[in-house]
Amino acid sequence: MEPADLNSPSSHDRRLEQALSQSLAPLADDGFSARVLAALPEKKSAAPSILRYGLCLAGATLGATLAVKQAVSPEGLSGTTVQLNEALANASVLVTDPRAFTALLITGVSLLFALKPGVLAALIPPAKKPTGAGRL
Amino acid sequence: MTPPDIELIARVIASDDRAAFAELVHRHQSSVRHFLRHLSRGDAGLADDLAQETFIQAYRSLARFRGDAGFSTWLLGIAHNYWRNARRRQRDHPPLDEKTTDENAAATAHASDLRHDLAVALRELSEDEQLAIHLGYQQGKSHREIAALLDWPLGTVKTHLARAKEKLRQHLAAWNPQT
Repeated sequence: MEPADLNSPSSHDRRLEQALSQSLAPLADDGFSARVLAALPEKKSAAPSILRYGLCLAGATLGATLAVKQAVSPEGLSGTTVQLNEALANASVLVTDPRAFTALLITGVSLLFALKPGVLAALIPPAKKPTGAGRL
Repeated sequence: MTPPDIELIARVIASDDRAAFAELVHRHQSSVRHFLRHLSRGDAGLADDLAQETFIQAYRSLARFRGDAGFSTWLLGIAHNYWRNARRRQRDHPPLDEKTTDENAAATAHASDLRHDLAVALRELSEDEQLAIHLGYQQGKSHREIAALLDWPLGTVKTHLARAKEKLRQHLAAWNPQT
């Protein structure tokens, strides 16, 4: 037997909405959360960062040493404008020197690793884990 | 006292806190899996696969969660996108029929006479009307949230809900003898 107020349209609507909102019982987890956690990407480790900064430091040091050794003579640092201009001119010419070019390349690659972490990740991709989404 | 979603999200973003993410998954798994089971017509296996992908994608893009909508609504939006992609790949998507009815409806069919009649009446609605009813009443989403989630105009949401309720009223007229 239904309650009397069910005969009014508004109570009918309320009853309908109540029935709709109560028609879904919460689903038990049943290990679902654990499966999601197991399929997440690996935790970010500190190792790539240390490697990146190590490469950057070593490369920058090596590149800078070679560049200074090749491009700037002791006289170039003596102070006069003419000498400075000559040193800069020598440096620009030395860019075409293979050894100077190699030094600059090492410095550039080191800076690239330092400033763009994604480059290292792209070169050394992490091992993929199965996601369990075989149907897709 | 359990921390709010936004605090757990902040912990995941700041320190990749897996325990915080596990809590988020545990909180919202039922809603997301119900939604995907509804969309996939009760195919629990497909729905759970899509739900898993939904949470993994949510984890990856958590930093882009702006908090404009609730976290639950954001998750359902991701789930809806995954389901649409899956449906595109499933050329032989089965139509709604008696054999593929929502298992939740089936499970609750005999919980009460009204629920049983309601489950039958819901099957008579169009796909979009069912979706609007599911989100609006069974998931408790506002009209605006439904519109954002499904990328429907707000008016379309209201129209689908109004039509769906009118159809349900007619199907369930026996429960309201004066109409």
